[in-house]
Formats: sequence, structure tokens, C-alpha cells
Amino acid sequence: MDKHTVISNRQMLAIVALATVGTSSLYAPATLVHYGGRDAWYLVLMGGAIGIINVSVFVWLNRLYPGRNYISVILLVFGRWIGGPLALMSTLFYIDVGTWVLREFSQFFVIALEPTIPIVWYLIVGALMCGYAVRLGIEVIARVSEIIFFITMAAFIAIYSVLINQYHPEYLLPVLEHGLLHPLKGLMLSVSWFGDVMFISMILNHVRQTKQTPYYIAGAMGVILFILLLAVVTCIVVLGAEATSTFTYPSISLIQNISLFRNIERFDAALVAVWVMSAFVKITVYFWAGLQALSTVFRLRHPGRFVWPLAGAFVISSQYKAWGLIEISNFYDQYAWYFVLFQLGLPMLVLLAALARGKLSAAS
Amino acid sequence: MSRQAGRQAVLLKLLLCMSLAITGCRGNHELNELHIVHSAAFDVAEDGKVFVTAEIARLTPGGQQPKGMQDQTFYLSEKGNSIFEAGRYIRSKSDRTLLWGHTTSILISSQLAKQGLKRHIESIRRLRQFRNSTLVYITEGKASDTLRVKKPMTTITSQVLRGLTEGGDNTALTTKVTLVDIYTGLINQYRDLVIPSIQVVADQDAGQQKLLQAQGLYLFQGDHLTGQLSDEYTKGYMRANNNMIGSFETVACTGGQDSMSFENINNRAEIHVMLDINSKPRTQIDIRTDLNLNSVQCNDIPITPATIRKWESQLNKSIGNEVENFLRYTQKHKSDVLGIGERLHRKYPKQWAAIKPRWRELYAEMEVEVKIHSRIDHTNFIVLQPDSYEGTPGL
Amino acid sequence: MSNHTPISHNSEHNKALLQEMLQHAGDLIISEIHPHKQGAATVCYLDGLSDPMKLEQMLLLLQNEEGMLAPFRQSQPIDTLEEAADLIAGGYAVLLYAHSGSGLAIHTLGLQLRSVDEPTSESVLKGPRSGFTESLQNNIALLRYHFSSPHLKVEFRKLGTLSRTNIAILSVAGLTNPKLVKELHKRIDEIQADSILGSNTIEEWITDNPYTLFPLTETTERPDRVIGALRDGRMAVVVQGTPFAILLPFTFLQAFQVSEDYYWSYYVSSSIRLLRLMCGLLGMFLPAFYVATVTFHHELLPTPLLQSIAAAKEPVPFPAVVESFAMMIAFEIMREAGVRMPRQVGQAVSIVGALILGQAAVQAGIVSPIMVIVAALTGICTFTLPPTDVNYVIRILQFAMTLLASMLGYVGIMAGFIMLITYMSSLRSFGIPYLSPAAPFSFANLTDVIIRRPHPYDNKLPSLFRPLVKWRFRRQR
Repeated sequence: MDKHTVISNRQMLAIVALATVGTSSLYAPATLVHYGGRDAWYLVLMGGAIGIINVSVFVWLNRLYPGRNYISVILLVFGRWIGGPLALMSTLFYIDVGTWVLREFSQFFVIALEPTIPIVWYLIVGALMCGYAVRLGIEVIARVSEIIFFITMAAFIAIYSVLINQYHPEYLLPVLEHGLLHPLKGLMLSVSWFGDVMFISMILNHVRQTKQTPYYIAGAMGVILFILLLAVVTCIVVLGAEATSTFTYPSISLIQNISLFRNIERFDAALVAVWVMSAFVKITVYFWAGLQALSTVFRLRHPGRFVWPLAGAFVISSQYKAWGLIEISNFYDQYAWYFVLFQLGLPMLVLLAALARGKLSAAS
Repeated sequence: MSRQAGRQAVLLKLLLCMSLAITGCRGNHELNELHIVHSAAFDVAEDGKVFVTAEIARLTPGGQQPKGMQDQTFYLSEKGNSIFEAGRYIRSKSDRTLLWGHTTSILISSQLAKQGLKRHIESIRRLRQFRNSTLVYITEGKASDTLRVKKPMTTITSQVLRGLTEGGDNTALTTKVTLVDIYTGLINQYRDLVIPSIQVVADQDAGQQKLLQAQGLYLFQGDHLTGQLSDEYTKGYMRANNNMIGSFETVACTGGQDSMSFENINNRAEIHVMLDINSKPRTQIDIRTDLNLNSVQCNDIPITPATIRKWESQLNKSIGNEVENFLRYTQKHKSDVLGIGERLHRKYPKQWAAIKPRWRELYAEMEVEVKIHSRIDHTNFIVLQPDSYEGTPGL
Repeated sequence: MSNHTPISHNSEHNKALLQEMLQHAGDLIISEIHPHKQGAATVCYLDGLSDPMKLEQMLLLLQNEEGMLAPFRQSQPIDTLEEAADLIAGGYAVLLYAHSGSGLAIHTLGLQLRSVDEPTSESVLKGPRSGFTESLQNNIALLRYHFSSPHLKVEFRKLGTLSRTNIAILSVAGLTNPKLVKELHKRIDEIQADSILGSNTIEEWITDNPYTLFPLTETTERPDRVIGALRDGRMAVVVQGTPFAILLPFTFLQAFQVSEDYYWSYYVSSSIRLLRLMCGLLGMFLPAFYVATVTFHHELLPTPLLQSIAAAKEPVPFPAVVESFAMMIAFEIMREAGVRMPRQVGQAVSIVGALILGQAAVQAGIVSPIMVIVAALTGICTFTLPPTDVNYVIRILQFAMTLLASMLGYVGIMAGFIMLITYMSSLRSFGIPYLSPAAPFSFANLTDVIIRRPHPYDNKLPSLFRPLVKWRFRRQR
């Protein structure tokens, strides 16, 4: 499956942008503002800078070993005895992130739409949708992401434009009141949001690489930065920084402020649909990455057969992962280092080892 | 996969889908299982609990055209430890589930407001149902009585209240305060709250009939009610806060009891704050306003630029008094409604950290300078006084 | 049945064999003529199929000079009696020369067929009103008339072991990708049907995926639509006996294009195209959207509207889902009945339909008036699209979407939408992704699908179908 399918640069941009920012634009403003206060935008920018470093690690790795995905690079660089467990852990990490997002979003739908629907319904529907897409392969996922990318971006821009007459730019002042270093307490968290771009490691070898691929990747990071910045800044200038940090989903509270023609309001129910699509892309991409990783580690010949069992595992894992929403946000907060370890730490290690190996083999 | 296995898989999927549909779904409410709540009133019950009253539309089906917002309403009340609890208790009195999502106005009694609004507002905001744009009012006496006043023009109280609030565009005697404003105001603490007041007054012609009137604002310190702004002070607030869209001013004629009325069409206020060397705050408010002449009851005054200038200076003095009195009132009640503290924070972040704990005292002693620049634009369709032709021979 | 019985020198023998091969058909006429120079010739033809004028002309020529028959139009030599039987059944008149053991088949087909008329299924306001008829010859002639280019390549095949239907495969030499043409020929070779009843039989054989709901080929009754397709690099298959020609490859967004778009100014066409796209979306999602809003998300509606809807729904005992299914099914019944019923009864039935659905059902409290509006609007929306299969697919999907909406609200609709796009993205029509140019995205192509570029600026061929040529013309500015 997917051995020779190729996706275009534009599709890669769509997937990368959607999978990173589609979901974090929903709840990231709350925690970012919690740490950064009115200077949360600064935190976003710093996180973005490190995100660019994160992405370059993967691009470099791909350039050193073209045609191989991240897991096979680990196996190659570290050999079977050390690389095996590392690769397996990375595989489980991919699947883990997928289940986190699935659970997070099912929780979101339950809260935002209707508390009495059992969460397991959303989990099952989500797992079915994503399993189906993974079954069809990365090409189909890429095409669907392109369409969803346009719809999502248009919706975001529309939301933030319609609210323009409710902006209070003075809510951003005073700028950097506590100095440059104080907001950086939340840097790890911010980096973990941006680090979601790591699945690019599994996709990059399927992209039809042209001279413009690096520009597209930079463009993707630019889009991510723009959207997250827009989300954070809009929340601050409309609702105020302190109020934003108290909301569970600041973007939804923001949308509830939209009022057209005196009577038409509460678009949050309709715009939740946008987040359904982004969540779908993210879960599918990580699901697929996990499946690819699994098939690389165990050298599976028919990865297609594992899709539905894996989907079932997704549902069970998401259901029992955390007791409730508070646990989840707590986890993201306190254990952000766990995510950053796999997103940035391990790849940097792999890169250094690969470079060292290269130097050794060049010297010898 | 063989054809047989493929067919079995499809059948299995179909069965799964159908079972999902047939077992029924939760979370859906058909419209004929719902009661739509239009307004809510919160009071303090005798034993200190919260007393919630809901105004519910009584839908009358049939007829060629639906009645829209002209339906009759009925009321249900219950008390509970919190608003949420009381709301749930009301369900035991109602034959259908209540749909709170369309509540357009909330009436809070001043007694409840004096005890502190924060926990109630937080409780409402936590629920997803209430709209951000729900209008909030404070009323003297029992809010549930205010809710039940019979309205001559519209049957649904929330529509009456909303219309009254929109009147503030013309009179500047009331303003629009929504739920999200209150919540973010309480959390952000950029400024103290004002909430419009609704009073029940006797209808002057119909005797026994009662009317709702929106006049004046209630002043808050934190989340406790502290004072009430009269008409004059309200106008001063609206001016200083740059909220005024249209209003009226009346100035006495020179000597005598007659007066002139002006229509205020425009108002721009700029607030400048500064901290002097001793870290004492000083505020200067510049207000520029445009007015048109509407009625002159004084006689024999030709309308010349000199007259205009004289009127303008009269207006400056009168408006200036309004605004200064309003500010002094807020200083007396230590209620920083204009957000002076936050402005100082933005301008002098380092010094603000030092003076923040004592801010309310400093605000009470703060020097305020108000400068009004009014401009009379035109006199509508009549310029000359008809008397100026009096006594001309030959006519 | 693939014997090769040579034409014997005994004309009686030939006659008997032919009678047997054609099942002693009552309308088979076999007679001997004796032209001047040569020996006897046996003329065989089927009575109703042959045009008496052409026959007379042929016989006259025969009487005078046999050699002149050879270059006579559409004559071909035949060697076996099976061929002769085949051609006679196909409408040819066959001359058998017993003395030389050879034969000649002359095209004398001339039966009473429909004259060229406005196509009933696709009518336009401004544009040519000629439509295909059942005669393959006429259709090819009509196409050549509209597209008189020597580059038009017409290849004839005979399909169907029993029905022996003629089909013609059209492409443009130098424009259409030869790989596509080869693929098409390969798929037609694989057709094993015994009879071809309409173009749909061929469609189902040559389509990429016969089990899918979505049509992967398109049919049309208009020659200008065929020409439009050919100039974009697509291929056409015209089938004898049906006025519907098959166009392939087919992408989903072409279901929103009509030939009339090219005959109005580009502002008008672009606006109407956008309207059509919107109607396609509405047609699929409006009932679902209504059901989801009224059942799950009441806060979205403005309060006065909600009051009115609630008041109207008071007496109705059914949930919104059941109401909506009932109305949509009723609309489909009306539509299907409208197609089948004879003209005379049409008026009365439509009045009854309107009365039943409009007034009486609402007043009896079975449905609410707003549901009637939603169902009617949805139905009308689907009529704005040209009558391809996609039209019907949208109607079928309405039901699925409404069901999903009743289960999970907007999330259900979104889940349905995503699964739909995912499924459609995985389809291919002759190797072209089904959702191009939306995905994979191609801005140049997409602008021509959603809006229309003015003709002087329409200088690039859509790269969707991989034509051999990139430019229609080079702009001189």
C-alpha cells in the first residue's frame, strides 16, 4: 500500500497546515494566554521559530536519506537493537497522538453541542471515518485535505473578519510588560503545539520533490503561524486576555460573539463543522503515519488488513485514556515535554547520529 | 476477498448503520417538546437562595399566518442554591423541556446585585446555552414582578426590554450591556461595571396601568452594586465613555425660566491620563460634541454667530457640569467606570505595579479636568425668527 | 457461429443457406436479376430496412453497368455467407455473384426514423436546437456538420453477439491523448454483452468501477455538447438506436456545466454557474441542514423564526426526520409520475399534487409548512442541474445526509460530507481523478469550471484530460 503513490507540493502544504493548526486554533489560545498573558502572541512567535527548526530537522533527514521515511531512517542509523525499540516507541507515539486528538475532539463536541450524547458515539464515528480514509491511501487523504484546507481557511478568515468591529486593539497593551523572558515559561507548550508538524517525517518521502518543495514547507509554516497568531490575537482583542484564559475553548466563545443583522447568532454550532474537518485530517494523518510506521518496523506485506483492528484500538484507547477533560488539559500542560521529546528531541538525536555516521563513513 | 465475503461485509456494515439509527439517538429535541424561554429574572428568595423566574412563550398553532413574536407568555418560577439548580427545578413544574438558548434579556434584582454578581454570571456563562448577547438589566424591587408587568405594545417582555435599550441610541439615558460584557468585565477588571436599570412606573394616562422604563444606570464596584446614576450622571457617563450616539441638551435662557433645547448628534471623547512625579494620577477628558438647535422658547433672539458662540459657551458649562458631577459621584463610590486604572497600566506599566493595590483610594482623590468643545451645527429648517419682521411699516 | 461458408457457385444453394441463416424471415427478399454483361446476380435485402429509392437506383446502375457499382458509396466486397447474413440484417442490400463466388454489399438503409428535433431532455434558451436521433449515420453526419474538421476521427465497431449494434468512437487526431483512445478500445473489446439496448449498457461495461453510485461517464443528446467535449480532449461513443451519446472521461464537476454556458456572455454564464453549484450543494444538504437545526441546534435560528416554526410544528405528531423523509419521498413520487404519465392527464394530476402536498397535508397537521418549502426548494434545486446521472445521485444522497443529520446533527452532516469527498477522491474515470480540478487542485482548470473565461482569453486547453496540445491559440496581445 502506498509504496509508490506520490502527492504534490500543494497537497503537502494543505496537509501540514491543517494537521498542525486546525485543531490547536481551538484550544491553544487558552493555555497560551494563561502563560503569556497579553503577550501570548510573542509566545506563538517564539514557538514558531522553534517549529521551523523542528521542520528543518526532518527536511535535512529526508535529504540525507531520500525515499525513506523516518522510521526506516531510525532503523538504519541505529541498527536493529537500539533502533528497533526507538522505532517502536515512535510508532506508538504516532498512534498515541492520534488517540489524544480523537478523545480531545469527541470531548469538544460533547461540550459544545450536546452533553447527553455518549462520547463513545463520536469516537466510533471518528474512527470509522478516519479508518476508511486510511484504507484508501495517502493519495486520497491528500486530495481530501486540499478541499478541506480551502474550506477551513475561508472559514477562519471569515470568522476573524466578521468580528472586526468588536476589536479593541488597546487590549494588547502594554506590550511585553514583564520583559522578554517571563512569557517564555510556556515555551514548551507552544513548541509542542508546533511540533505536531512532525508527521511530515512520514510523508516527505511520498512528496513529488521539486525545487520548490522547501518553499512550500516554509509556506506551510507561515500559514500555521499566521492562523495561530490570528486566533490568539483575536481572542485577546475581543475578549481580553484574562477572560480568554478562563475559557475552555476560546475560539468558540469568540464565535458566539458574532451577531449579524440583529438576529442571526450562535454560529458556533455551524462552525463546529469546520473543526470536525480539521480534526478528521489530523487524526487520519497520524493514523496513517502510525500504520506506515508499523508496517516499516514489522515489514508487513498487507498493511491494509491492520486498518480496522487499529481503528478499534483507537476507540478503546481514546475512551479509557483520561478520566475527563481536566485530565487532558492538565496532561498537555504538565507533560508537554513528553510530546516535545518525540517531536523534537528524538529527531535531533537521529539527525546527529546520521551526520556522525556520514562523517565516519566519509572519513573511513 | 471473494464475492461472498465482500457481500457479507457490506451486509454487516448496513446492519451496524441501521442499528445505530433504530436504537434512537440522544440529545435531540423536537420543537414540539420544547418551551422557548424569552426572559429570565433572578431574585433573592427569603432564605437567601436564588429565585429564578422564566418567561415562556405560549405558542398558538393554527391560522394562516404564524403570530411570530406576538404570542402570549406565561411564567414559571422556582428557587434553588444556584441559578442552574433553580433552572432545573423549574423543569419539574413545566410540561416540556425549557430551551434557554433564546433568552434575550435577564433581569436581576438590585438586592441580588448587592450581594455579588460574579458567581451567578459565572454559572450562566459556564452553560453553553445562553447567548453572549443576552441583555442584562437591574431592577429595584423584585425582578419577577417587573417581568410580569403587562405591556401595552408587545406581549413578550424581552422584546420590550430590547427595544427600550435601543432607545438609548436616541436619549443616552440607557446603554446596552450584554452577558459577555459583564463576564469579561468581571474577569478582566479593566473597568468597573455599569448595568442599565429598568423601573416599573405608573402609566400617566391609563391610571392603573404600569409601564417599564429604562432610565439610568447602576454603578458597580467589582461585582457589588454600589450606586445608581441619575439621568444627568448617565449622560455624563455616556459622553465620557464615548458611547453616546444621540441625545438632547437643554440650556436655560438668559434670565427667566424659558429654555432652549438642542439635539446632540455627535460626541467624541478623549481621555488622557498621566502620573505626575509623586505617582499621583491626573486625568483630562476632552469632549467634542456637535449639536443642532431644536427649540427656542426665549423671545427676540436673532440667530447670529455671536449668539451661537454664547450658546456654545453655555452648553460647555452645562455639559461640563454634567460630566464633572458624574465623575465625582463615581469617585465617591470608588467605582472606576471609565477604566482610568487600565489606561494608566497601559501607559506606565512599571509604576502601575506599585500603585495597583491602592488604586481605589487614589481614584477617589484623583484630579479630573474636563474640557468641552461643543459646536452648534445648524438650526434645522428654520433660521430666522418670525418676530424680526414685526413692525415693519407698509406690510 | 464463426463458420466461413464461402459463396458457392450455385445460386440456389446460396439462397437456401441465406434463408436458413436469417431464420426464414418473412421480410427477406431474394431475387435474381440478370444484368446485361455479366451472369446472374442474386439481390438480397430486408424489406422494411431498405430504402426503395436507393434500391431502384442501384438496380438501374446494375442494369447498365456493373462496374459502376464498385465505387458506389459504402459498398464493400464480401467473401462468406455469414458476412452476407450479417450485413443483410444490418440493412445492406447484398449482391451475390454465383459465377465468381463473390458478393457486394451496398448500403441502402433507409427506414422511417425521427427527424432532427430539439432534444427534450436538455433544452437551451440560446443555442442550437438540434439533437441526436436514433440513426447512427445521421448522428455522425450532424456531428461532422457542427465540427467540419478533417481531424475528427471516427472509428466504427460492431458490438453485441446477438444484436450486432453499430457504434462509433470519436476523437480528435492530434488532440486526444492516444493512450485514452487505446484504453477505450481495449475496454470495448472486453464487452461480452449479447445485446446493446441503450448507451447505458455500454457505459456499465466500460466504466472504471461498475459498483459505484457515482457515474463515471456521461451521456448527452446534444451534438454541441459532444463537440465541446471533443475539443477539450475527451472522447465520445455514439451508439446506433439511441440518441444518447456517451462522453468520457467524466469528472464530477462537469455535471454542473451545460453547453448554454458558452452561448451567453461570461458574466451571465459565470453567475449562473455559481448558482448551479450552490443549487447542487443545497440540493444535497438543505433537508439535512433543516433537520439538524430544528432537532439539535435550535440556537442557530433567529428567535422570531424559531417561534413561527415551533408554532407551525405544534400539531404535527412526527419528528422532523420523518416529516422530511415523507416530503422528499412525496416529491420524488410526483416527479417520477410526471415523467411517466400521459400528457392529457398531466394537468389534473399536477393540480392534485399541489393541493395534496401544499394545502391539505399542512392543514391536516401531517407536515409543517416549512417542511413543504424545504422539500420543494430542494427538488427545484436539483432541476437546475443538467440531467446527468449526478442529478439522481444527489437526490439519493439527500436521504443519506438527512439520516445522518438526524443522528448527530451538524457533526453527522460533516461526517457524511467528509466520507463523501473521501470516497469521491478515490474514484477515477479513465485514470483521471474524479474530483479534479478541485482535488488535485488546478487553479487554471478550476476557474473554467466554476466561472467561465471570456472566449478571447480561453486559450489554454484544460490539462485534466491530458491532451496532446496545450494551447488553443496564442494570444497576440
